[in-house]
Amino acid sequence: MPHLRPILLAEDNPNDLELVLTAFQDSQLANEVIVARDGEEALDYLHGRGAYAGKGVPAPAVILLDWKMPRVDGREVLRQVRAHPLLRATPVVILTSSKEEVDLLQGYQLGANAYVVKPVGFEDFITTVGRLGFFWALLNEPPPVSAPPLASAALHQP
Amino acid sequence: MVGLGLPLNPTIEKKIAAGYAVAILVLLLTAGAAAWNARQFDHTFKMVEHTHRVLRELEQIVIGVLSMQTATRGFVLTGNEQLLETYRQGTLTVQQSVKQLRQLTLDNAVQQRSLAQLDLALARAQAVQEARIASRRNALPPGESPPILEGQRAVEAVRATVEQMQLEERRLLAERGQGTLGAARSTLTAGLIGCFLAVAFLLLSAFVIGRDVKQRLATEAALRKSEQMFHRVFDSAPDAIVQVDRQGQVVRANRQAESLFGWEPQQLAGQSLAQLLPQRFQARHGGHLAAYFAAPRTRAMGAGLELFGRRKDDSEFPLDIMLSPVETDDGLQALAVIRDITERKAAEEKIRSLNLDLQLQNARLEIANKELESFSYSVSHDLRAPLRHIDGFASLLSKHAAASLDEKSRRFVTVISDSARRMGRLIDDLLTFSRMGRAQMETAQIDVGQLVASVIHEGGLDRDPRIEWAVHPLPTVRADRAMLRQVWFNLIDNAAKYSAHSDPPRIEVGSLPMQPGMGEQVFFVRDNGVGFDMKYAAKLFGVFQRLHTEAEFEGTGIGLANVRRIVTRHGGRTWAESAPGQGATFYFTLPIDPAPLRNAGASSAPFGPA
Repeated sequence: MPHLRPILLAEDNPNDLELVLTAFQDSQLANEVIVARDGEEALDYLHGRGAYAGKGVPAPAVILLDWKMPRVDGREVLRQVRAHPLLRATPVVILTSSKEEVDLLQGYQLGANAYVVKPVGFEDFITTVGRLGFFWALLNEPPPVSAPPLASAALHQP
Repeated sequence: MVGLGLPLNPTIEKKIAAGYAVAILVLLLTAGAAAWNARQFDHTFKMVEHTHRVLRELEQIVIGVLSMQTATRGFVLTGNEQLLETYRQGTLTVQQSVKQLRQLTLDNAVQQRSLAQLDLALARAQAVQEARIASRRNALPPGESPPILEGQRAVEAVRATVEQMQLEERRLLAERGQGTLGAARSTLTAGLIGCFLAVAFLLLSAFVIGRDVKQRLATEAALRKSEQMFHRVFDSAPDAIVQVDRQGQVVRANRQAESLFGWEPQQLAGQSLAQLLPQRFQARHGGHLAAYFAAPRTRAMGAGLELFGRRKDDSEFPLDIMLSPVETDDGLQALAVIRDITERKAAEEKIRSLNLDLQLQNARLEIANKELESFSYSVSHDLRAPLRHIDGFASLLSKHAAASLDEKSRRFVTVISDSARRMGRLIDDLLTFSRMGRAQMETAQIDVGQLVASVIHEGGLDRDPRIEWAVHPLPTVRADRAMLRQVWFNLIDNAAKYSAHSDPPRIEVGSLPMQPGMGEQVFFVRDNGVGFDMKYAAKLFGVFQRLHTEAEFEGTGIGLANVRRIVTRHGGRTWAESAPGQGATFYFTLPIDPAPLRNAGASSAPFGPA
């Protein structure tokens, strides 16, 4: 069985968070879900710094990224991810309430792999999240991690 | 000629000179001919006189000879000694005449020969006469003296010779006379011709010069007229005009100029231009003047400068000056057309301030629009989240507490969830509606048939397999593609929704043939669904207006409001026809050329007029 990489979930709203996690549970995803409460935490994980410093944290199979977050928002996270040579290939799915064209455009222009609008209806929400999880975490082949675990690599980064 | 007051055109002078010269020449020639003719006459006269003298001498000779003869005969008859005297006289006369004759005909060889002959004849006659006389004197018997006949013969010989000579002389005279006559005649002819030519030439000259003079007079008159015209135009021009010379002296000013600057009529001419300028401009005035005359051309004065004029009462006013150079008899001068632009400046100021207001207004609208953008952006994102949570947790609740929830409680939870979802839909629809009102229209030629097919298929409107579709060929129109797509989607979606209970549901999409001169294309969507009562037709296109409950047919009541808003923005109309239970037909029109209404209908109110 291939090693299951974790799902990095960046979501600031506790309610939304609970709903997503419940949905994951319902769809019985085996992947570990790493939760970041905002963009800062997400980047900390990705770079292996802050709370995750020194820990050998595995590269995520996918980043589920909320767009509107305090401090560092989804846009910034995406930009940094795409700018980083080691992180650049990581699949990023924007998961947000906003259906505004401007956000869609920006998301894709910055290099998101997918843009999913959180449905209001709960049933739909569950289904959507479940499908997302299934596809990205199980079905999709994540980019290979050619380098050693992220943390040690991150230590060599500025 | 000089009285014309104009320097004569050199060509006219040349013409006059030429005319006169030729006339004079001809006259001189004629005079010359006349003089020559006179000489000829004189010559002839002398010739005639000469001939007469010759003839007279010859006559004298004849008379003499006859006298001699008579005397001889008389003496022979009477022996009168007195007759011998007559005879001697006669001889002398003859001698004299012959001598004269000889002189007279010295140049004539013929006559000289004749004269020689005459001499002989005379000598003979004389000899006979002398013989007869001598014989009488000596009383010789008659048989001894020469016979009378001999004497007669001798005289005849003389007469013959004389006659010959007379003839010759007359012939000569005639000959010479003829020549002279001929010459006289040709001289006369020449003279006449000459005179005629001279007269003709004088007449011609007179004509040509006269014509030239007339032309000159006409030109003068035209010039005077044009000058008068100029003065009239100048004086009555609606703009103030001032004519200025190089020294900045006003040569003339028209009435408008005088009244503009507040001067009495005729008072401005002769003043210095500086009188019309405010004090502070007078220093640079000289420089401007010199600069203009250095490179004179038609142009506005002081481009970019604020120019002011000073009235006689020292009041000032802004003005506009157009300059143009004009050549005059007194050298290069300038015409200045002056306009009082006080009103124009006021108008410009007004425009400027209006523009400013407009810009401010625009800025305000921009801000309002931006606020609206962020408003709907917020709505889009921030309002949805709590709704999601409501529904989410309500569902979780019902799942989690499924056991402890009775029928009623479960229903309560359902209502909560449904309401949240409905609110979500309402928000979505409102946002779409607002966006449709604000968005920029981008029109293009659209193949409506293609668009409708795409809407039906990609919009999933054909997911109900029972539906019988009748999509007629549709024309091409000019419209905003995204908006038109929305219109078709809403209408066809409605048709599908409200005919879902029919068996089978039938949806027809088509267009009406375009009436010439209407300038718009009519489209329709017809269904065989539940229809509606026409008395509610007015409410149909209102925002959130519905004719059915949510239970009967789901929907937010924004679809048709959207349709109307979009169609109105294109410059078209919407209406519907129906009867309860008999389906409904929804019509809308699109103008052939929606360009003029590009942004009409777009308003800053989020849910503006429908």
